[in-house]
Amino acid sequence: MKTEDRKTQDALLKVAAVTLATTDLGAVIGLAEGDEEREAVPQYLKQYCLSVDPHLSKNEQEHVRSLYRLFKALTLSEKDSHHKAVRTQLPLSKGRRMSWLLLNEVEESKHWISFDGHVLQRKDVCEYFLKQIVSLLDVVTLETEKRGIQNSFFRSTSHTNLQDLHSVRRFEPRIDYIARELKTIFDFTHVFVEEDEAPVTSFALNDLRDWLVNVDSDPSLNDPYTSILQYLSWSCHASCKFCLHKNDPEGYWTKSGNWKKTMDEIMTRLKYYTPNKQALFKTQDYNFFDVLSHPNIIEILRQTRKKTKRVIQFTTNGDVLTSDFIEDLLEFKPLFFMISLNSANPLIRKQLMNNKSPETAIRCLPLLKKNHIPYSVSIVPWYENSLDDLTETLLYADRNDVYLIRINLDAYSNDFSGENLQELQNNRIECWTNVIECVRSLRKKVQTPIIFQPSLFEENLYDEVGCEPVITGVIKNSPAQRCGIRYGDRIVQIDNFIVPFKTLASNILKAYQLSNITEFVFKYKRGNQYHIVKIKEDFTPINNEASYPHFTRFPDDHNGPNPFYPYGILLQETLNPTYLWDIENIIAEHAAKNVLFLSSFLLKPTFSKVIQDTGFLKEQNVNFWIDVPQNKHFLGGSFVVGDLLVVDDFIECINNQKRPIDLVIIPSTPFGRWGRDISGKTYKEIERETGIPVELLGCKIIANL
Amino acid sequence: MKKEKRNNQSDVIFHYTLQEKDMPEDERIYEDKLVELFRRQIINLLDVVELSYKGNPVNVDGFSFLSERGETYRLYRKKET
Repeated sequence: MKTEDRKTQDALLKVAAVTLATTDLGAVIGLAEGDEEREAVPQYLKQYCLSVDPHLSKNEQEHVRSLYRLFKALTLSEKDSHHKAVRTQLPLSKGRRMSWLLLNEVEESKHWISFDGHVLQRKDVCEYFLKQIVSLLDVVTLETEKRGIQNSFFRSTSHTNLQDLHSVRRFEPRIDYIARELKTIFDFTHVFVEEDEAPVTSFALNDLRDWLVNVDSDPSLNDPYTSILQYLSWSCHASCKFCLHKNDPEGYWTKSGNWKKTMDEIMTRLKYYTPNKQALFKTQDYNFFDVLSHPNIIEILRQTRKKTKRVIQFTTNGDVLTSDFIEDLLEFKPLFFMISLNSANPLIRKQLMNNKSPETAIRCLPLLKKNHIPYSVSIVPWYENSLDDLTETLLYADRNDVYLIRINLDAYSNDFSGENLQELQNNRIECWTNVIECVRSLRKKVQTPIIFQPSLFEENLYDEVGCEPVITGVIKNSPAQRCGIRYGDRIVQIDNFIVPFKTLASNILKAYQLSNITEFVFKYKRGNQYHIVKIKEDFTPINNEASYPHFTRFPDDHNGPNPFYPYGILLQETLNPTYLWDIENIIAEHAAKNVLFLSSFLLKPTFSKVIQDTGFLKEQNVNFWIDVPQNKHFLGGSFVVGDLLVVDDFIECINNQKRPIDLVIIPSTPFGRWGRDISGKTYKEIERETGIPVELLGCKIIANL
Repeated sequence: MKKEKRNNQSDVIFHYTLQEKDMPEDERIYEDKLVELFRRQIINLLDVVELSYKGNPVNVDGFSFLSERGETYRLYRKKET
């Protein structure tokens, strides 16, 4: 290809990537003064509009704008046709077509269903019941504990290896619906086999192909760890003092009686996993214990690798990561580990985690580096540990070229088994503050990015709230680091586009990486000085000593969500200000005058500041209040992350309001794609219980690696 | 009519019990068993689907039997004011 052609193609790719990044925000952001789309943007969002470098000539500016408009039109039309395709592919009920045929089969067989006398007098109701059962039989098989029954719709079972109904409620509530329907029907009816009653005690899914989920509707299922490997969760070698799950009640997001999955289930999940297409519905968000301890991990990894070359990311306490085991794992690269290190001192690690070989995890850091396997470490700054130990641990990880250090600010549910729960909860803010201050002083001494989970606590503490595109960290040996970019630098411009807020900057960089853009101009501000650099990335594989621990992209990752940081730049996610426009539209649709927005302890400061800075709703005659529900009804304790709130927390907060409310808006993130909270309850219950209309604001989860 | 129920005999069977301890008891608001039956079924359905008319969502808070259209039954308990 000629150099000029390549340049043109590169320029087109860049504008296309920026277009993708902006349309992915969920709101249309106009491009430049005088632009038609920009005129449509509300006044309060004008400051967040993307704009073209004013130093370009007028012709060049217009050229960039035309390309942008063209790509936007293409992207939006593609998105629209995709949505239409999804809508038309909605499955039709096979049961409806089959009902009468099967109904005849039921009536002619020796199996019959009786209703109580009241119902028998209503033939239409009898038929209604039968039709319902017959429709359900298209999808499930009924089971009874009575022996000797085996046919196409009813069979005997011994009730082993039952799935958890409560854990499926959040992820596949249609199964819960079927269970409720069957329970309701058999509360009113009885099944007989040759004159003997055979109570229906369970049911089984007929065909797992009916229950495959498209990765477009749940992108997390594209990850082989989420779809398959997390179900290898096995007994933990450690017993950490801060373990969240030690004393948890059964069910939902915590471990249940059936948390250990059979190999048959793992193999079935593997069978139905088709990368970039579909997978079997999930029943948990993450593994409860260490999957690397599973006796069949190597075999399953081998089978998984036959299906995908995607990076596999493990969370582990590192206790099994011996030299030999790491050797065994090399054939499954690309891998990424998140190691729960907690302390680099074996004695302290042993006291904290109560594990047999605390040295193994500590020693695995240099081994992973030697084998070019990138890894992060996580540290829970337990209150008994000194800040000196925290410092030593951070320095040790930094010396071993860790990719990223994550400090998990500990929180405890009401069921936490520790003796000092009340003390921990009371001293939480003070402990967190001390840890953050210690880490902030260390950030100048180490090269590794250090982030907090939840990250917004640090921003709130140091009055760094807002949406400015300030860099949270830079990965060692990455293109960004080689250009001298550092923690705290503020992004100003990427190529021809002035980037006004963090989410947009993050989206553009990710879109650039996904488009294989190897070179771009990057302008940033440090103090009062502006700097312009050229960031270069060659997208070579990671087995390059000079680039470790940074990596560009693993094979086969370009179609899925890339969880890592493009070009080595960490931008801690925060509020996307374009949500304001969505909020305004929701309020307008309801013609509401008194609106309650339910935020979280962590996000409220940023949200309030954005509202104040923008003058949002100032000109409308709308009362807009922000409140924060307390986490009381499920996890309780000291959790402050909004995504862990449940329906009952929201209901209590709404019922406590002293003012008249005619609309409640809640971010969608505490609820899964089926609108269920972590306890499995539907958000619709909030509206039913309070009598006030409730709308979910579509948001992306604020998360980090 | 016979049909193949499972795709492959090697698949693990996903069984679910109907005797789940955690299965919440439905609150009763009508004495009439049939009214209560249909009320519960509609609520179960509304927990997984959104009804719509000509593409627009429809909010539902009650129902009546086609044979007794004058009589409307509430889906949810009345709010205390």
